[in-house]
Formats: sequence, C-alpha cells, structure tokens
Amino acid sequence: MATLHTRAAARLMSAPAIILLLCWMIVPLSMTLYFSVLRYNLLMPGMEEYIGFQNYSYFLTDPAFLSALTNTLLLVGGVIVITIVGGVALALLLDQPFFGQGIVRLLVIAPFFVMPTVSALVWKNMLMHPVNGLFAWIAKSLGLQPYDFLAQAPLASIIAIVAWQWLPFATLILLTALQSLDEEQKEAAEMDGAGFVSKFIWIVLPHLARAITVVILIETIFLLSVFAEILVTTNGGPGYASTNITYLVYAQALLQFDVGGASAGGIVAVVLANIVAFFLIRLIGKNLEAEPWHAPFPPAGRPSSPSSAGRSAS
Amino acid sequence: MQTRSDYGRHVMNSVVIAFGSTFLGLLIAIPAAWSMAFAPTKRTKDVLMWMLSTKMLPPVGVLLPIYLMFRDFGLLDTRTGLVVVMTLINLPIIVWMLYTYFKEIPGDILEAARMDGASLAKEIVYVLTPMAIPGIASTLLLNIIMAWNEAFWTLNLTAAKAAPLTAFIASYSSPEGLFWAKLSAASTLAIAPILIIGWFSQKQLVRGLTFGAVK
Repeated sequence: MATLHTRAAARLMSAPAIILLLCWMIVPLSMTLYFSVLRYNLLMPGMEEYIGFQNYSYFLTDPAFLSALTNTLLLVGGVIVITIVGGVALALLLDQPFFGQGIVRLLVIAPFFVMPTVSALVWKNMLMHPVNGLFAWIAKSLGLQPYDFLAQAPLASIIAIVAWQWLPFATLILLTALQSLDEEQKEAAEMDGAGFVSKFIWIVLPHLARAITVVILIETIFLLSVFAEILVTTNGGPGYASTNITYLVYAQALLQFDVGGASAGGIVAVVLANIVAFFLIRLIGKNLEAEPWHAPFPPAGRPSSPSSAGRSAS
Repeated sequence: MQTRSDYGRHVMNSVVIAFGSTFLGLLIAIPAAWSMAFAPTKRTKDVLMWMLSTKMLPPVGVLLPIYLMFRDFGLLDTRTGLVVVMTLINLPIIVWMLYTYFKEIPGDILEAARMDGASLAKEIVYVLTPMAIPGIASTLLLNIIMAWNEAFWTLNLTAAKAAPLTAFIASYSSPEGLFWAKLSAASTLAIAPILIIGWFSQKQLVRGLTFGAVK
C-alpha cells in the first residue's frame, strides 16, 4: 500500500542525492560557461572583462586544438578497435573450458584494476624505456637498434598503454554476453554442418552486437577524458604530438592559468561528450523499458507477477 | 627520496579517500535508490537517466570552477575536498547499481511485511536490508575500486599533503627510470588490495560499469 505517507517519504529520501548532483552539475558548468566569455587569467587578477566568443574563436582556430582533436579521435578510435577485436578473441578463448581457467581469467582481467598512473609508469620506465626498458633489451639482444617509443611514436605508444588497460573491460563484458548465448542454438547450427567461421558470423556476432555497442559507447565516454597516462608518460609532447583535448584544457588552465580559454575548451569537450552520451543514454533507456527484469513492481493491491499467482493457485 | 612514513601517509590518504567517499556515497544513495525502486513515480526513469548523464560530463568541463572554489574555500590538497569530489563523481553509479539490485528484491515480500503491519522503518531494517546486503556489498567494492584508481581529480587537486597513491606514484615519472625496485614496490603495494577486491567483484563490475545494460 503505497500510501501518501510513503510517497512523501520516498521523495524526501531521494532528495539529497538529486539536489547534490544538481548542484555538482549546474553550478560548475554554468561557471565554466560564464568564464568562457571572459578574458580571465589567474596571473592578472582584477583584469576580467567580457569578450564574447573570442575565447572560442581563439581556441578553435589554435593549431594545437586541431592536433588535439585529431589525437583524441585517434586515441578513442584506436583503443576501441584494439579492445573490440582483442576482446572478442579473448572472450571466445576464455569461454572454452580448460585447466587453470580461473587463474588465467584473473590475469586477463588484472590490468583493469591497476591504477592508471602505475600502468603508465610501468610501461614508460620498464617496458618502453630506450635504455632500461624490456623492449630495448629484447631489441639489443636481437642485434637491433632500440626504439624510443614515447619520443618517436608517442601517440601510438599511449594508444598501446590505454588499450592494454581497457582490453580486460571489453573482454569481461563480451565474455558475460557470450555466456548467455543459447547452447542449443550453437548445437543446432553444428548439426546443420556450420563450421567455426559461419557459426561465428551468423550466431555469435549478432548475439554480441549489443554488448559491443555498449563497450564502444562506454569506452568512448571514458577515453575522451584520458589524462593520467599522458601526464605521466609524455606530458602531451613532443610538441602537441600526444596532447588530447582533456590534456590541452588542463595545460591551458593549470599551467598557463588562462581561465577563459580553458573554459571555452572545457565547453567544447562537454559538447563532444554529449554527442556520444546522447546515443548511450538512448540505448540504456531502451534497455530499461524492454526487459521485464526492469519493469517496475505493480502497485500494491493488484495481483503481482504471474509466477506468484501460479504458486498460490497450485 | 621518499621515506617510509611518507609512503604510509599516501596509503592512508588513499584509504581515507576511497572508503570515506564510498561510505558517504552509500549513505546518500541507499535511500534514493530505495525510493526509486519501491515507490517509483512517473519521473523516476528520467531522474535515473539524468543522473547517468552527469557521469558523462567530462571532468575538464568543470575543472576550473571546482579548482577555483576549492582554492577559495581552502580545500585544495585536503582529504576532505577529495572525499567530497569523489563522492559526487561516483554517486550516479552507486545509485544506479543499488537501483538495479533493489529492483530484484521481490515486491511481494515487502507487501507481506506491510500487511503484517510493519512500519516503513521496520520494513527497511528487518526486510529490505538483509536482502539488499549482497547488492550493497558489491556496490561498495566496485566504488572502492573506482575511487582508489581515480586519477584526474587526485592529480589536479592535490599536492604533497593529501596526495593519494595515484598522485604519489605519478611523482616517480620525473627521475629517469632508475628506481625500478622502489617503483615496483610502491606500485605492487598500491595495486595488490584492488586486485584482490577486483577478483571478488568481477561479475558486479560488468553490471556496474555498463549501468545494467549487460548482465
């Protein structure tokens, strides 16, 4: 009996969360919008003045912005391609029963739990370092010239590091989706003489389609904001070779203290993320309606689920 | 070089920030998720979707105002400040996860309790809580992992005093990589607890990180 009393209590209970999030979103975001139309540098206090959209035109026509945008798209796209292809392959492998499955699965998932600064540093100092790194050692023992990954191919190196971090995420989600695949469907296909490839293309991939979409959308949201890996490994350099939009805004804000310009950049980043978020929200929203598992409980007084009705009848 | 007590302080910072923000977040989110799951209104779905959208706001969009406000309130490089930020950035995920778990609790049981004359408070304490504990526990674990590994706000809002392990380990990046032993030790200690927690919560991780879209 959801009485008036309960309804009021329910409102009261969700109020703190809603109000806090509203403040967290509206207050700083409107401040950013406001800053973005000001000439405002922390090194020149008291000189703030309204300059309209100059910050935007300055930010958007800055060559650094163009390379940062390109880098952001390459980073997001590269990592997504690697993690989806690798994730599907790993999920298919891990779905087979074999000895030591638990340990192997833990090892595969482990990189996701490593904090970004640690994985970036381990890659930088222990693997990719041109003198001390493992790759340099392998190259030298093969008689090859060691390659300075982070200086000569900074963006590709960062893509490799970030892909290593996110591969477990893709694998874990695709594996979960794979395990819900109907075995009988696969067996039926096998009886009809379907080989591994046709089974994969006609049964497994369509089944994974939604999970793949989810992985792409969620990774995009997080990858647009890659920061620690760049800060620790290359500081965005050489030049702007590995600067993404997040890092560019950070540099503008906390290294050059240009509040106005950085705010304009922040708003650009928000717009970019919103385009992705729009699709993600729709996908999840559809999911919320479609599945009976998510359906709200019927109001009290009405006969509830069919299963309980069946039970009481028997 | 860093001494042992320094390292201990950064560990403590990480612990305080991760656990503090998780408990604070649960405190705010449990009532909200409860009311959304058991007394949904027409707007509940929109509210949930909106909460999710706040999680998709890129942090650089709000970095400057937060930084300046923190500077003015003296919250820069303090644990309190980071606990507040971490609670707020993870609140949407906590509410979402709890909501999906609470939804799985059969409503019939609550109805039965109400018929037997249980008050709202009793309903929560004796019926809902025991059934909700597994969901709350996995939300707690996932959130500790996320807060422990968060590396945008911790790097931008802390310096020496309140830096958790993420920021502390980033400081090893300047000297050229000759500190293998030290770096390895610090890194291993920083990731070991999370690896263990992560192993226990990998199933919940999928659900939490996909907002229930893949189970």
